Amino acid sequence: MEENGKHSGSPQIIEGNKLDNEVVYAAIAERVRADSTGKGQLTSLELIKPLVYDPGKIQSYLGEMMGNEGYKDIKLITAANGGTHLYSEKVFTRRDAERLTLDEEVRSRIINQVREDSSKKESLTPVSKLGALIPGAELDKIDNHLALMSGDERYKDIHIITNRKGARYLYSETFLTCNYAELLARAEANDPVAIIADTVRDDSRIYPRPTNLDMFKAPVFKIDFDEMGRYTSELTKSPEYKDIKLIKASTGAIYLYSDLYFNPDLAKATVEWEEVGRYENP
Amino acid sequence: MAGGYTGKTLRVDLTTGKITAEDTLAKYKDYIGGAGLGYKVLWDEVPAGTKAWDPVNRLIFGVGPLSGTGAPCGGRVSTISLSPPSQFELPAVGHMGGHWGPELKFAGWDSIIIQGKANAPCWISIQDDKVEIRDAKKLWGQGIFQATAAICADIGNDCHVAAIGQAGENLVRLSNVMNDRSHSAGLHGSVMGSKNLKAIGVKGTGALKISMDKNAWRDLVNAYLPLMGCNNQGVVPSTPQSWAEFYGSTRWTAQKGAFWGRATPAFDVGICPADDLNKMGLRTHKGIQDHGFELGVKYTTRIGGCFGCPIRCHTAMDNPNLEQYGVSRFQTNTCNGISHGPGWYDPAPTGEKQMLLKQIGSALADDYGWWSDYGQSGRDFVYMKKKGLFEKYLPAKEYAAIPWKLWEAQSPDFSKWVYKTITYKEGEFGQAFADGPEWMETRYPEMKEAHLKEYELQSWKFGMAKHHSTEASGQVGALINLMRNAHAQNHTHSNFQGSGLPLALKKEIGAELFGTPDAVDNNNDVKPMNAGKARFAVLSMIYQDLHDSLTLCNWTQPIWASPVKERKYRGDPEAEAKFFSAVTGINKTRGDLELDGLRILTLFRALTMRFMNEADMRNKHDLIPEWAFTYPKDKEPFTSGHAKMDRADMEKAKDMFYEQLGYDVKTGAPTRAMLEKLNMKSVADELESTKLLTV
Amino acid sequence: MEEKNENSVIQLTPASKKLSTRREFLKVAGAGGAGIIGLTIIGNAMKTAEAADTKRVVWVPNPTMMIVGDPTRCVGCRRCEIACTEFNEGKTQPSLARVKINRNYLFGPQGTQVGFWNGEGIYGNHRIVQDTCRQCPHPVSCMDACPNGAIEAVPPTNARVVNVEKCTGCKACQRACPFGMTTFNTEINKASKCHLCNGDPQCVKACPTGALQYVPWRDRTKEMPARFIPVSVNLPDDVKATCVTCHK
Repeated sequence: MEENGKHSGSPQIIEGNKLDNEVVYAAIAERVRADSTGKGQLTSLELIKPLVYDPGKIQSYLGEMMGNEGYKDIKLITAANGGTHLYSEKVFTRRDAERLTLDEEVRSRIINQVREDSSKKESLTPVSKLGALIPGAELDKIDNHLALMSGDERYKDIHIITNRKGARYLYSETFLTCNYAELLARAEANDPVAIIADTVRDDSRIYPRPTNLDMFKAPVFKIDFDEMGRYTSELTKSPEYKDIKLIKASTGAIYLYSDLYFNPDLAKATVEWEEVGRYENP
Repeated sequence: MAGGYTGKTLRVDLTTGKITAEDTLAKYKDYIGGAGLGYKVLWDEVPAGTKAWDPVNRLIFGVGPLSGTGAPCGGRVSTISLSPPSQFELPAVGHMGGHWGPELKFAGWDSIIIQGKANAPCWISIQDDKVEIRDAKKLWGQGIFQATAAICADIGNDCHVAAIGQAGENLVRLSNVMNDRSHSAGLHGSVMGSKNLKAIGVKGTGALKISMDKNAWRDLVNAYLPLMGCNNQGVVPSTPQSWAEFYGSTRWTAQKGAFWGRATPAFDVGICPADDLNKMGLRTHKGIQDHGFELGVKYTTRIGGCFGCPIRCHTAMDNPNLEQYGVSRFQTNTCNGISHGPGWYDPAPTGEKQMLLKQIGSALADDYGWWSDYGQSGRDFVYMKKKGLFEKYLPAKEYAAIPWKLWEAQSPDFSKWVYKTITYKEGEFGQAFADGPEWMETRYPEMKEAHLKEYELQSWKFGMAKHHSTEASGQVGALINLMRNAHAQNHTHSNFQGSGLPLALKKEIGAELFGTPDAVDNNNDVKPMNAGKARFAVLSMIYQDLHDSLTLCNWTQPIWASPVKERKYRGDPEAEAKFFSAVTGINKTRGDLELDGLRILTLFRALTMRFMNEADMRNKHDLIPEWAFTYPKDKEPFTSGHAKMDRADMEKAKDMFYEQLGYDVKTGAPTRAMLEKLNMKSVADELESTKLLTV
Repeated sequence: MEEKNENSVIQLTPASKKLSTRREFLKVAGAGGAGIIGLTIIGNAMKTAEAADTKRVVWVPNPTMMIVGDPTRCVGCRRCEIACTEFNEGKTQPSLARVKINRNYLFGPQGTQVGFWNGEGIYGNHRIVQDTCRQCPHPVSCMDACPNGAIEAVPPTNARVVNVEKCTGCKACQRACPFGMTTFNTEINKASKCHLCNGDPQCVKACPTGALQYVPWRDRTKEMPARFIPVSVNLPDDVKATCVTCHK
């Protein structure tokens, strides 16, 4: 479990797997108070469950715990969406806590949307569209939510990515790899020449290999392939992309590479391997 | 009793008709099985001076303790004998997949040793422990398909048949043994032919014991499967896909729109992520690799392959256009088994015509039992045509009678003519091509020179094809060709190179396996030789022989890289040891098995020395063709953009290679010291007594 | 001539007349066409219903699940056959495996024939037909043929399962199954058949193309032709005694 605030780590294990109740209560209280004081946030029940031997019995644990004099400040609150949270009454009033559950709800909605977009639609969730999820949204509040999400270990699969137009997107790494999300974000910039150039530079740097033009037919790039001739022409003329070179294989297939990483001889040899050699040596 | 093994090896003497059983482990334990067992038989029983078609030559069909079990991929069988295509008829191994090898195990046999010569065409029927030599009068002269059907009609549709076609019967040197429609063991078809042996039909109802507890075994198998990639061990998809960090240049061609277009109904394999084990057999749409995207998608019915392999690689297609040429519209094979067809033509055919010629080629070759020697024949043909060598060497009448117009039209009718002429050894042409590229060097001196000098002929030494060499991993690719007596057919090095991972990752993994990241170069950007590369080459050799003995498929293992990001794309180099120990109950570590592999490889080396009667392997056998040092003409070694080797560097490479094997650096031959360490003292003694052992 | 003998020997009471002669039975069951799963009753072997004094539970509930193969996707790797015996018995033995691929692999279910290149299997159109146990509805051929009642419907799936304690290895079930799906474990001399791995079928998990699916049960016995028509199967007495309870 990740370190967070002043959380001190797992309680002692005594007698096999059974945890000493006192130790558990203390750990829970420490976490809740740290979140309330340090982060000014509620603590989700989901984050408490790992501390308890039998998470199914968490409610009764808490019931016992809160009957204890030393933990009277630890309170439970249930949000409208059913999520349960804890807070310290020393920091928050009930009113405060209710307000905070609304925030939790908002973040929960965002997370669900992002995970659904990533898994079912294999697409990014634009930050600019998050307003629709948040009634009466204010842009600076969204950034606040995003900041709090990034520190929450429940949401550690959620990442934010910014493309060259400055547009921000969220995705879940459970369903989309970072590299793939990067490609999606580039496509969102709606600048085919830039997408081509960035991808070619990546391929030349990482693998390294020149990029077959046909690769840009892949749906992730969202490129109108009929216009490819125009894009490559722009590309090779542009000073910003002067490292991008075009090369034709003996089969007529066209490739691009970045001469920052590839010299022409190696590019040619690699392209010939891809087009001819690979099939002569199956 | 060890698991995996059946305990009995079958011996059939076709001269006397005697059929006996031997204790596998008592005789062959040190050599595991498969190719190792075969080498041991040759070593013990076939004297120097024997020729491939002499009755005393043995033909071994070798399977190993893992063959037929659920250890992926245990479907292959090694065929071991003296090799007719070899100029010196040196010992060599063929291999075929399919289901015949496992069936032999289920019948209760660890391997078959065939010796002698029957006095009339025969076939061997094996139904569990009932083994009979049967009259093959009705089968002889038939193609492999009909012979197979006839045998199945006899002993059952659930039997598996290894058979030769007319090519093997006619002692065409370039002929094979095939089973299950498209699985070919090259080299030894005519050895069977010379023994009057048409086929071996096997039906097995028995069981193979797995020593490990069944639940633990299941867990072992299921832990291993996610580490496998696609065909030829690509570990990333060929297009950007949401589940993958990397992509490109692999045979993981599954994607939306990758249809098996002629399946009924047509079926889109779609995205096949690494963690979906119920789609791993769909990752490689081999039709796309073998025929290009459009044609592959249009004509493929399914992708097939061998027993027990979850990765499929035989492209099965339906092309109604074929029926007019008198062959079935349904064709199947893989890689060069498909692509030799268009290889006869120049310029190279393209598009649908190319596909048609591919299918015709495999339809004919797989029935005639003709072996393409990795396309060498086609390349030789085109070269000879270009250089006017047919006019020079063929009798005028014969030359005029060749249907050159059909050749120019790139007509399938020319293909039919060519395969038939070779299978029946008609004329000088038929005889020359039946004997194959190596013997052609003795016939036509220009070809000897061309094989050595012309890059386009892609021949390595003595006329044998390269498969694979310097184009994959520079010096490593060169080294893995040296010791072999037929095309190297090593994919260990080329698969690792072609995994699709970024170079940085390959270097990292390479460092762990071979001692230094410098063991791995970028393709076509070869750097000077180092010890890591030698280790890479040595391991590639050892694992090839080990896999051919266990048997496991050398196209899907060793698992040095995997598609699993959480493992940082590492595979499991311990896998062979885990499976061997689990199945047999004989506990071996990776190091143990590598030693076994070295022993097997070394016995093969000793065999080569015996049959070549040569002590100086380094200079007389382990040759490197001229073109490796001269092509491309205008480039210098160690510059970017090619795989041209440097002579001094390759000498250094040989030094390091032999050193790491424990061989004598001067001769490339095993030393007494290392032979004795490997428990091969008798081998050392014999080599010494025949003046072949120098150290 | 034959018919007269059968009539006189059988001497049926009106209650069991419907299944009085082999010919009548076959007429009813539609012999020769698709879907025969019936039991063949032969001449002398049949005693009158009243003579039998023990009955057996013959009617069993339908299974809830079954394994179905899609031949479009089968690639012939046989990892299903491998998993079936390796994960159940700890050995590899396709002849024992309770999912059948090998026998259809080369030439299809029809087997070798003239013009095999137009048939199925890898020597034909490449189609590989998987044979899976139909987990037949009542009357269950293998179950009813067993003289020892050793085949039982086992909850929760109601798969028809061989009870090895009761099985005596007589192989009557093998002769009775029209789909040829019962196998025999020669090591322990007991019959065997698909038991759906007690609800967690290993073959389905092992299939690398998803060609085998674990799906809700439906009656597949009439979907495809039987592999052969079972003959020479005598219904055990206690089964016969129970049949007449419903089939009067």
